[in-house]
Amino acid sequence: MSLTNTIVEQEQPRLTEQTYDYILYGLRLRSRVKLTLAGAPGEGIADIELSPAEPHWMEAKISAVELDDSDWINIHALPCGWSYVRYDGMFDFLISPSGGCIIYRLLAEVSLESFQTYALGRIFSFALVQKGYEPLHAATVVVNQRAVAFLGASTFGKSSLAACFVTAGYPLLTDDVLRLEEQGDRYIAFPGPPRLKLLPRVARLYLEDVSAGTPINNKSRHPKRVFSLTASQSCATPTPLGAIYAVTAPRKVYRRQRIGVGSLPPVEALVKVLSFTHNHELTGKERLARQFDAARRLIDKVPVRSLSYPRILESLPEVRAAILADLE
Amino acid sequence: MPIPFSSRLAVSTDVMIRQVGDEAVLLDLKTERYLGLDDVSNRIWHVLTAGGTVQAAYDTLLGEFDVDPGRLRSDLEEFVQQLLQFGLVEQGAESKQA
Repeated sequence: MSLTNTIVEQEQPRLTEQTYDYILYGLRLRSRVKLTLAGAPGEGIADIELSPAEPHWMEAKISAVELDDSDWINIHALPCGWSYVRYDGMFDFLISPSGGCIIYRLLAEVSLESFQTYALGRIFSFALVQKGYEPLHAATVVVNQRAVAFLGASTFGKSSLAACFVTAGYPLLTDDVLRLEEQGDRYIAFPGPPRLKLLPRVARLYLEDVSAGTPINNKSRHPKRVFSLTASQSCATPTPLGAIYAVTAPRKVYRRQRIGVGSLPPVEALVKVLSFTHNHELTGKERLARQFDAARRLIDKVPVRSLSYPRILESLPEVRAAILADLE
Repeated sequence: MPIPFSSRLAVSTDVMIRQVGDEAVLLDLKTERYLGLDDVSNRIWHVLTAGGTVQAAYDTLLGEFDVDPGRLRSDLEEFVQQLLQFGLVEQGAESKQA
């Protein structure tokens, strides 16, 4: 599929009923848009459906929403339990109270990759939370058949670190959204889209990808691009979670500081897991209580380690070596 | 104004507490705020919210910790004030016993 292919070009003036199934984060996604993911094997009941909105229905649903025009992203909880997310000049979404439906509307011509980045990332996290899951904000790779997650906020360098692992033969499990499922005395981590959001120079350095990547949005707001990974660079199999590394914020690490990998006091580990949920927008007592309990159980079964390092791109192999040594 | 030591304290209904080793983390579901308790404050919390009076908690803690009684009293008063201020506990009826 051409990188310049747009959703507008894909869709016909008269929408068809054809759907496409994918397995994403361990759930069956049924989409009315053909995505650039491997199709799901076999048949099954959809966990989440991704569908275009009927224009009049969408307008009626959001009629009472007061948009903040000064903000590119508007997020609103509607009284009926739906969540509304709008990326100005690109698209908007409604996520159903059950998390079973994601409805989208294009506000302009956008690339499929851009649409996927948001729909299968941040928007999908709304659906996951509504379905009762607690996704973490983490880039995750596979080391010796165990998932290793790098936990932190945006711009913490998680994806760059993951790219450094990929280049050494440790495949990516997921770049942004980490869904976990507790199974007995362990947690299973589920694969996300085989893509990394990177600065082009990081991709050149570690993925040896000299392409420009695909823009994340049409606003030039985001310096990162989306780079697709090959089958050998990514893992499509649910994998037991071996460890979580809570990444220290870049502003708290100076350039000459040494790489630090160490233990975290349990309370700090709990705070880190709570802090780096993938969705801070959906609150409410029920969700917070569930998230609190989920995080508490997680730190009991999975080691949460601290990771701090100076953000020098060329030094990431040393960081990787420190993590690998710590895992042994 | 410090509350009378004859008072009892009850955990607010919107507060969850989860033990993490010897420490604990509180979550106030109403304000969506988290509060960490180290091992000492965790013990103080448990004694204060066990159903007895603040005086009873003081007496228990005095027996457990090697601390000046006056220092413990003032620290306990301050701790209780903070808990009340944050809405993590509610002041119950005072005990009629001395």
